[in-house]
Amino acid sequence: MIEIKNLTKKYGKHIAIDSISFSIKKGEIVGFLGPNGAGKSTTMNILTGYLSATDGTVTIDGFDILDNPVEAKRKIGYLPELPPLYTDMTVREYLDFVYDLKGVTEDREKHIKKICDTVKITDVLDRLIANLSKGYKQRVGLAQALIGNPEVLILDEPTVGLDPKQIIEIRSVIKQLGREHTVILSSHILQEVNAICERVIIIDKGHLVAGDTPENLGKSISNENKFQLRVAGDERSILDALEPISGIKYIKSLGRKEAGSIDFVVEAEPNVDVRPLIFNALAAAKLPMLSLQTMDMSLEDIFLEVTNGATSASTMPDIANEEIEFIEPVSGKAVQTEEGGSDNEGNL
Amino acid sequence: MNNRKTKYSLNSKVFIVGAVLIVLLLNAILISLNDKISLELDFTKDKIFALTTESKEIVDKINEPVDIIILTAGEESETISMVKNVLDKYTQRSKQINVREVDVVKNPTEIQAYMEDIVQLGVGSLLMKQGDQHAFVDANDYFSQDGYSYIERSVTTKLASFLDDAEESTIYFTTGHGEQLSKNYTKVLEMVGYTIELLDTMTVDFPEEEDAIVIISAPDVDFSLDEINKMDAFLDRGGNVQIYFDPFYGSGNLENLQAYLSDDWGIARNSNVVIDTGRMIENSSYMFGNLNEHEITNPIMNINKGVGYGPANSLEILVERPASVTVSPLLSTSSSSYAKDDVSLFTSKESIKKAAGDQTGPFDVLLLANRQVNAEDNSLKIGSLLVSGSVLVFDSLTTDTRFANEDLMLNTIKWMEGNQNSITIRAKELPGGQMVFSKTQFWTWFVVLVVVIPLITLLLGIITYVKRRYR
Amino acid sequence: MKAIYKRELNAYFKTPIGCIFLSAFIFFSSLFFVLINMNSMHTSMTNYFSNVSLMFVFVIPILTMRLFSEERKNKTDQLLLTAPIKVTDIVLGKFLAAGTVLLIGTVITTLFLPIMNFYGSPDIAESLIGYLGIFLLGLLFVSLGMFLSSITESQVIAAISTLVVIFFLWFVGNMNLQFSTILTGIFSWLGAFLDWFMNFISINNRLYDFTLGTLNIVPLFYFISLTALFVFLTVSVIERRRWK
Repeated sequence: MIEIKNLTKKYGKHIAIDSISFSIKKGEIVGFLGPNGAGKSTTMNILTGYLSATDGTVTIDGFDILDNPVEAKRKIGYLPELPPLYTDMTVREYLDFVYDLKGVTEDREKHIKKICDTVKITDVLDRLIANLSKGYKQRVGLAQALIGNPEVLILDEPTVGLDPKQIIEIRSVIKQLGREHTVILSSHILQEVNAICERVIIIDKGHLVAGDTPENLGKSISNENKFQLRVAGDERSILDALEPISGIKYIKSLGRKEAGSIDFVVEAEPNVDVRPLIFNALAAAKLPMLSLQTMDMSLEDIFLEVTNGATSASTMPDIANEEIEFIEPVSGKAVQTEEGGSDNEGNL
Repeated sequence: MNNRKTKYSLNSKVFIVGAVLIVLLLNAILISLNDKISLELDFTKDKIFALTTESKEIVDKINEPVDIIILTAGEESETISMVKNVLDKYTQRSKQINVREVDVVKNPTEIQAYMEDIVQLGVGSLLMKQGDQHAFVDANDYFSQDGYSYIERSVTTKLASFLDDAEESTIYFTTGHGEQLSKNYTKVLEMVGYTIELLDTMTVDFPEEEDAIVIISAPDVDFSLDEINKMDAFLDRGGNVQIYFDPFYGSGNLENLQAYLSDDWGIARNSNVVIDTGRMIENSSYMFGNLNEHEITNPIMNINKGVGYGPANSLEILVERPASVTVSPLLSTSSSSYAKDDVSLFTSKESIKKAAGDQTGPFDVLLLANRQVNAEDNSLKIGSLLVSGSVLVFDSLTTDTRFANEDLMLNTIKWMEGNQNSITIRAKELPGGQMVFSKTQFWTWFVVLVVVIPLITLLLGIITYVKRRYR
Repeated sequence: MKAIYKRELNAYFKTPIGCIFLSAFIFFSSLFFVLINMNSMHTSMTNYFSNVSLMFVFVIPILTMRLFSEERKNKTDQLLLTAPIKVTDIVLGKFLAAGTVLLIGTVITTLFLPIMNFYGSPDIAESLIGYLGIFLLGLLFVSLGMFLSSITESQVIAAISTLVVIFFLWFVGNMNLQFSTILTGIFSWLGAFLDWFMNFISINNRLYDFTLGTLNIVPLFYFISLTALFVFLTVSVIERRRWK
């Protein structure tokens, strides 16, 4: 559906994108991940034809964005970082205008109504856009992208600046849209990409640094086996029981999480399954194991791994941590602990 | 760097530079082409910017080269571009006419021979040469409003004078009676090709030619009976006389002349001054008259222009008059006009206000009388006498394009010359005519146009905006 | 193009901008009309047309300042430039919308003709040529203002630069600068060229024929070709920005 080859964008001497290539198949939901200023928006602006690449090609369903801009653009619905809204229009006027602008042939009333139902803006149709809340503005922006039923949806930071409730709503809308459209979504929020996307493309400083499903990315980058376990008993005796196990690289105590028990992170040597050994050792020491779970590498880990540490620290804005309570899987504290763990690892 | 950007960027630069150059070039070509052929459609009523048929006829007769030199003094001015504009029409019409510019200051050698005359002229004046003949057109005479047609008329007249078969006709102005001669009147007459000659009627007889025209302009001193007799004989021969009275001149002491007019022609000059406040032009002492139907006035009525007059005596057509005389009024005042016997009251707004005892109008201010005489050879001679209660050809009246005074003057002369069928509007005026409205109407429109309509528009905009804002 | 045109025209009248422009346009036109024609009680509009062009210095920026500056500032240009239409259509749509508002203003001011007809007999055909001249001149300034608006993100800069350029053109037309008298000797060709060029860009000289009521192909082509040039330059500026 989308073919990108050797895409390069230079602003004077500054290279914003350096020879990026990837392709996206029909029906995929792809996440664009990267720190602020990594080149996500630039890439998306090039994909949609708003900017032109210094070199390289973008092909949308066989149409080159430069050679056949009109055909290529017809296949794209684009929601830029800042929704392109005319604040002096009402929502209805605005959507009517976009409908005319894109030269849509479907029945106007039905088409617009369907989209409004999808993004839930029917109740504000006659309000002036200037008077809408941020969440509604974002939805109107999304509605605009949907007009004309484009095969590809390109959404640049669709949840930025929204409150948690709005974020959940927008995400569920995007997921729903993903069933019928090819979606490219950019975000600097890892959870978002993890929650929505089937595939992740990570960009840093204009380079494509990784691209696969979140699961595969986790596997390919780390061959390590990491576990989190909770054992009833005191810390010293547990460590005494575990330390002799030969396959374990290191053990780190996370402290007391539950009365009478201690949590540990255990990392094993590659290709050694230490779980039975741990179980046996603890059983032998009469220390009951309350839980044992593998810790797959989260997107954060991957992200930190593939981008360098200095940038990653700044790429984790507070909002990412705040959101965690609403979204699955990894806790913010875990991230910090992991970092701590890595440091310890260095000491060992 | 052979990437897409470089290619595009180069292409786009080439296109931009190309587009700018093409636009400049095409315009430059058209501008230079315009000097050679006429590329314009004239939408003015009089086709003011095309040569008149008369000019064309004369231009077509020219078979020897004529040089027209525009006398400049370093600067391009509006006058010069106007002159060039007119002369373009001549060069487009005839290959014999060559126009060029000579800078009087930088390049005086070429025109040295004419320098004495040239120093009197304004910048943009023309020196026209054919063989050993030459003529000038003085830029000081280009009136700002109808300069265009003035230049054409002057140039055509001068061209005509270069032609061998050029006819000379003379118009005589009497002297010796304190006559007030309007310089513009004579200038316009000269411009259209007449020779002006002064006629001292005390010593010289009236002209012999049958169709000659003698003009008596605002006399202050009476004519002797001998002069009157000479004039009467002249009229009997089929001559033409125009008499212009002025309330401020010769009031009460033109007994012989006025007696002759009333006895022989049935025309009386009243010693009063006519006031028509409703038709008075703001800040002036000029009033618009009503034109009456006549061969002379009809063409002017057709172009919807007014004839103006200043302080005027009212004229009267007497019931008792010789049967051979017919009198027709050409110009009258409106029915709301009135006349005061005390001419000196015609000074301020206050003093001209209507008072008890004023005569009420309408009055005639311009009359044309004809008298048929059977000459000795049994041929029928018609003498024409034009009598005006006012000097219609004030300097500012002839030059002001709102007025058709110049047309009226030329038409009477043409008519008197006997070319009744060829009465033409000689002066092409810049389009437009007079509007008549009162001061109240002026201010009403001022308020409506400048205040009310813009304000309503602005309010409409603000109201729609505010209404929408709270949606 | 139709969509852009419709939106743009609507925007003029849903915000106060369109009415502010019309109000100013009518105000200045009326002022000149009353001061020139009504005051002299004369129906010839030649003087009116050659003087009224001065108002464009003040009114055209109102019309053009927001055309592209606002789009860039609010990022709505992202919608237009990623829509399946050509940049030329965007520019033409906007230009024609502004041109339509200008036309509305011009048509409203033809109200002067019936007024004069009531009190005298104006030459309608000839005056209409003058109105055509004023409209074409305004259209040229609209394309110029649009071009300047496409260069900057700030409406204020767009408005001020438009004002300054139009004033400059008006000023040059009234100045009669003589470079050939300053530049002599080896630079005389430059002086001659500058004189030609100054005459070329002098708006009053171009408007002259129209004000007299004659339709000359030269100024007609001048106005139309330069308007087209600025429309083209606007398209180029927007196209080129993508490559920046």
